[in-house]
Amino acid sequence: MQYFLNGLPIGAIYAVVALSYSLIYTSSGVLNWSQGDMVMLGAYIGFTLTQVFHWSFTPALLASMVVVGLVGVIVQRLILKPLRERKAPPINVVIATLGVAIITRNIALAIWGPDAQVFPSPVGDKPLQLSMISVTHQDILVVCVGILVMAILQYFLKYTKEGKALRAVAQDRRAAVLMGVDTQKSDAVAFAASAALGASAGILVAPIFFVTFNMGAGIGLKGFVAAVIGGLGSIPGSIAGGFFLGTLESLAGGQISSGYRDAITFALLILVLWLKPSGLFITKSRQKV
Amino acid sequence: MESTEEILQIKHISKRFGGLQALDNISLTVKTNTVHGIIGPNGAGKTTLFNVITGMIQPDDGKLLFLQRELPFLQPHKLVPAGIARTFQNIRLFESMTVLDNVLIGQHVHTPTPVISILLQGKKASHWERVAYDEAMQSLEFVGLTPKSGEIVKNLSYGQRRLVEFARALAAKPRLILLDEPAAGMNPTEKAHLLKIVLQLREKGYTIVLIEHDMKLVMQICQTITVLDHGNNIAEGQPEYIRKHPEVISAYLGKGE
Amino acid sequence: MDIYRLAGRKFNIILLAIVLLLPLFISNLYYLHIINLAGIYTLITLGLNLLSGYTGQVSMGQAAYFAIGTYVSALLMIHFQISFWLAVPAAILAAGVFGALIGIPAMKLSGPYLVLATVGFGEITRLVILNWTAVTKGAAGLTAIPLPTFLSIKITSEQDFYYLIIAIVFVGTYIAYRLAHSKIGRTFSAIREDELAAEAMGVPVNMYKIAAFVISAMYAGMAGSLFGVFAGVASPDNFTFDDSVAFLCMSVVGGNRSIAGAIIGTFLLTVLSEALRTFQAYRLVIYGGILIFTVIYMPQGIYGMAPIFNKWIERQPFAKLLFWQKPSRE
Repeated sequence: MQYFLNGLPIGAIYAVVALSYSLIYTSSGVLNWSQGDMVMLGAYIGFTLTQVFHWSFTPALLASMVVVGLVGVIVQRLILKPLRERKAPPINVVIATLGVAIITRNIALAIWGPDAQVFPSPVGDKPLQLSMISVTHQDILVVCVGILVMAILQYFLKYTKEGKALRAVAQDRRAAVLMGVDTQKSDAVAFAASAALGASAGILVAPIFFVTFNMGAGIGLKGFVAAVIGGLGSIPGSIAGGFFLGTLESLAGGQISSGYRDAITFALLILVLWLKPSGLFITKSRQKV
Repeated sequence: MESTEEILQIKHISKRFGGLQALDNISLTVKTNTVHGIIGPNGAGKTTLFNVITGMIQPDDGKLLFLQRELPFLQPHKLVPAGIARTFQNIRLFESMTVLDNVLIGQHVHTPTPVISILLQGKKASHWERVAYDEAMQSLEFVGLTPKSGEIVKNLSYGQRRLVEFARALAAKPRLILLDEPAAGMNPTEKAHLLKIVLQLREKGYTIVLIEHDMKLVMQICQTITVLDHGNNIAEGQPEYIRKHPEVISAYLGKGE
Repeated sequence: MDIYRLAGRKFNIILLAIVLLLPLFISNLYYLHIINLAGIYTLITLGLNLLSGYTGQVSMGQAAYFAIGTYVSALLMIHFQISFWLAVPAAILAAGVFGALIGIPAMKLSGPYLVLATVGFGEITRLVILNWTAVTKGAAGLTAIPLPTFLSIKITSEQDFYYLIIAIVFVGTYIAYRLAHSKIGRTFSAIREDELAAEAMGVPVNMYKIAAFVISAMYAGMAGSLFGVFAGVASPDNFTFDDSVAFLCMSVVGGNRSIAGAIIGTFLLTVLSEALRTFQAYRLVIYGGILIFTVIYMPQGIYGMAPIFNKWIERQPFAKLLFWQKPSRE
C-alpha cells in the first residue's frame, strides 16, 4: 500500500510527460526527443521565478508553462517546418530533436551552472501520517496539479478550435489539409502544448528531485516509456501508463532491488513492445488525441 | 490451347471483419494457362480474396490448393517459391532504388546467396549476380523498359511504374501471376500495351488472375470471369455469358459502378 | 560520372599512402589518440549504416553491443589470460548473439517502438554492467586490461594502435562494402523501402532483419574489444545512451545509405567534438546546431552531397592536374 502511494506522485509526473509525447506524436508524427529537456527548462524557470524573484507558486507555474510553450513553437518553426518542407526521412527528424535536446541542455548549463539546485516544496514536505501510511503535502500537490493539468488538456482538445483542429490532424493528416486545417499551425499548437505540459511536469518534479541541467534525459525517457506501455497516441492510455510505471518503479525499487529498478522497467517495456505493441491499456478502438 | 488442368483451387473461403462478411464461402477454380478475371462492385471482396491467396490475411475458414498442393496462410514469402507472384493495387515498389534493382529483388528466391563468396569477391557470387542480371533484363525487355533500367523508380511515370511492378513479378518466374487492378490510372496507349503483354504471357504458358474495373479490358482478355458481390460468388463463366447474366447486371446497376 | 572511379587506382594509392604515413606527420599524441578513437567508432558506424541506413531499422542502443564486446574480451583476457586475437572472436560472437536476441522482438516493430526497444536494451545492458559488481566491478569499471601483441610485438604506443586499428577498420570497411554492394545489400534496401512488397517477392524479411541486427552487433562487438585494449580501462560511463545517440548521429550526418558515409561521419563528428573544446561551454551547443543544420540541409548526409561535389570539382581547372586527364562525361 505504501509503495503504491509512493508511486502515485511520480506516476502523475510520468503521466503528464507521457501525454506530452503522445500529443506531439499523434498530431505531428514526430518522435520528439527534446521533450525531457522541456521538463528541465520548466523546472529551471520555475526555480528562478520562485527562488530568485520570489514569485508564488501558481503564477510561476503558469509563466513557466507559457515560456516553455513558446520555446516549443520556436522549435517547430525553426526545425520541424524546414524538415517537413524537405520531406526529410523520420530518422533526420529524430536527430534534429536530439540536437535540440543537446542545445537546450547546454544552454541551461551555461545559465544555471553545473550544480544541482534545491527547489523547496511550495507546501512544505512535512509528512502527513495517516495510521499506517504517510504522504507528504508535496505528494498530494503533485497528484492534484497533475490531474488538473490533464483535465485542462482534455478540455482544450475537446472544446477549443485549436484543440479540435489538432484532433482532426491526428485522425487523418491529409483529410484535415483538404478540410482547410493549417497543419503548420496545428504542428505549432502541438509543440507548444507538449512543451507546456513538460514544463508543468518539471515544476512538479523539481521539489522531489534536485534541479539539474541533465535531469531531462532520464525523466523524458521514462515519460516516453510510460506513453508506449500505456499506448502511444492515446490520452487515457498515456495517463494509465504513467501511473502504472510510477507504481511499478516504486514496487520494483522497494521489493526487488533499487539498482536494477530501471532495468526491470526497460525489460517490461521490451516485453510489452513484443507481445502487445499497441500498449497495455488500449483494447480495441484507439482513441486518438 | 485450352487446358483443363486446374492450377489454383479456392475452396470454401470465408472471412469476416467485425460485422462485415467480406468473403462468404467462396470457391473458384483457375485453369492452367488462362486469363481469369475477378470483377465486382467496390466492396465486393475482390482485394480481400487476393490478400487471402497471397498470405496477407488469414481466412476464418476454407483452404487453397495450388497445383494440387495446399498453400499455407499468412506466410507471404512462401508464395514466390511455390510459383505465385503478385502486383499491388496501389503500386508497391522500392521507390528510391533503380528499376533494375527492383526487378532483381523479384529474382531473390531463384539465385543462392553465397555469403562467403560475396565477402571474398568470389566467382560464385559474380556468376549468380550475372544470372540474376540477365533474367532481370529479360523481364524488363519483355515489358519494354530496357532503356529505363538505371533510373530511380520514383522518377518514372505512373504507367511505367506499373510496368516495373509487372517486370518484378515476372522476374520471380511464377506459374501464376496475380494482378490487382493493373490498368488503374493508365492512359489508353498504356492500356493497349498492357493488353498486349498479358496476351503474350498467356501464349508463353503463364496463368494470370486479375482484378480489374475496366470492363472493356476484362471482356477482351479474360477466358473466364468470376463476379463477386457482397462476398458471394454470383456468376462465373465466359465473357459473353457474364455480359448477359441478369444478377451481374443488377449488381452493377444497383451499385452504379 | 564518378570521377573517383575515373581516377581509378591512382586516387586509391594516394589515399592509402596518406593513411599509412599519417602517424609520421602527427607528432601530437593527443591528435593521434582522437584519430584512433574515431577509427574504433567507425566500426560501430559501419555496422549501424548496414542496419539503419540499408535495412531501415533505427537503433539507439549500439552502445550495448559495444559494451558487450569490451567486457567479454577484457574479462577473458584478464581472468583467463587469453590472447587478444582469441578474445576478439569471442567478443564478436557474444555481441552477435545479443544482436539476434534484440532482433527477435525488433522484427515486429517499427518507428518509435523500434527506437524505444533498442534504447531499452541499451539501458538494460548498462544497468546490468553497473550493478553486477561481482563480475564487472560495477561503476569502478575494469582496469589494467592487458595490451595486445602482434607476432610477439607488444602493441603499446598510439602509433602501434593506429596501425592495428586502421588494419581492422580496413577489413571492416571491405566486408561492409562487399555486403552492401551484393544481393544482401540490395535485399536490405528493399526491406527498408517496402517490407510488405519484399515479403511478397519471396524475401524472408524477418531473417534478413535479424541478420542485419547481428551484423551491426558484431561490428560494435569488434569495436568494443579494440576499445578495451586501447583505453586499458572500461566502465559503464563509456557506454551510455548518449554514446548510442552519438553513433547514430555519426551515421546520419555522414550519410547512412553508403559505406563511405560511415567513415566520413564518424571522423568528422569525433574530430569536431574535440575541436570545439576551445568554445568550452558552448561546445555542445554548436555541436547540436551542426547536427540540426546537416539533417535539414543535407538530408542524405555529407556523402549524399558527393554528386554535387563531383560536378563542382569537374568544373575546376585543377581537376586536370589532379586526375591527369579531364574526366569526360559518358
